[in-house]
Amino acid sequence: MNANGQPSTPHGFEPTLLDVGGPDSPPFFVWLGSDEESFRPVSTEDILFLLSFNVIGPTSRAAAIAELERRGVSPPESPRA
Amino acid sequence: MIPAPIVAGLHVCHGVDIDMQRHEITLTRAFHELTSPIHPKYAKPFRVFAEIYGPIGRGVLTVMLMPLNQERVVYAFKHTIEFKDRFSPIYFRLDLRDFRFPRIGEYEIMLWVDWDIVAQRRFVVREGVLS
Repeated sequence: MNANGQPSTPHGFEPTLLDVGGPDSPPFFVWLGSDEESFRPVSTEDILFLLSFNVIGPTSRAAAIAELERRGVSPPESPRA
Repeated sequence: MIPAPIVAGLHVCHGVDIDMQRHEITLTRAFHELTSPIHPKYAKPFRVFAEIYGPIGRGVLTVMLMPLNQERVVYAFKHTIEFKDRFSPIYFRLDLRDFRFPRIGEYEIMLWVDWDIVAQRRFVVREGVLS
């Protein structure tokens, strides 16, 4: 309640906090200065996930596909989005 | 998710304080221009904040940071999110640290939920030690 006795937030308003980016929830991809090296520590699942977006750009895409081929994994045929 | 989630503001800033008791959010030094070291030095940490509403259910939230020419991805993060109801938001606070900007210029942060772009935000990076 506020000073006027009115509800301070709408009824049933229950926000959830998603606090991330620290040591417990790191990014799955970080550019390290070399596109080739950047994909080495990324899981195959996450490389495939990243390749499913068409916005990642030709340089990252080429490095991701090269890393998949190095692991013997076929790259996806086309991005979804 | 159907319908696609809605983001009530996507901000890049130096500080985000969230009071979950009072439902108050304080953004400190939200910016459109960031002075930061450039590769090979690490970027100065900053934060991303978004208030996200969606239909009841679960989805995958993905964040990407890219130079505006979209030559490459600099940073990518994903996390499962769950909306309890249509009217209660998720307060999303991401701490970006330990990465490098390849060069000065324009960058874009994109938020996706599953395969929908739910928010985009551009900012300019200029080289410098501290801002």
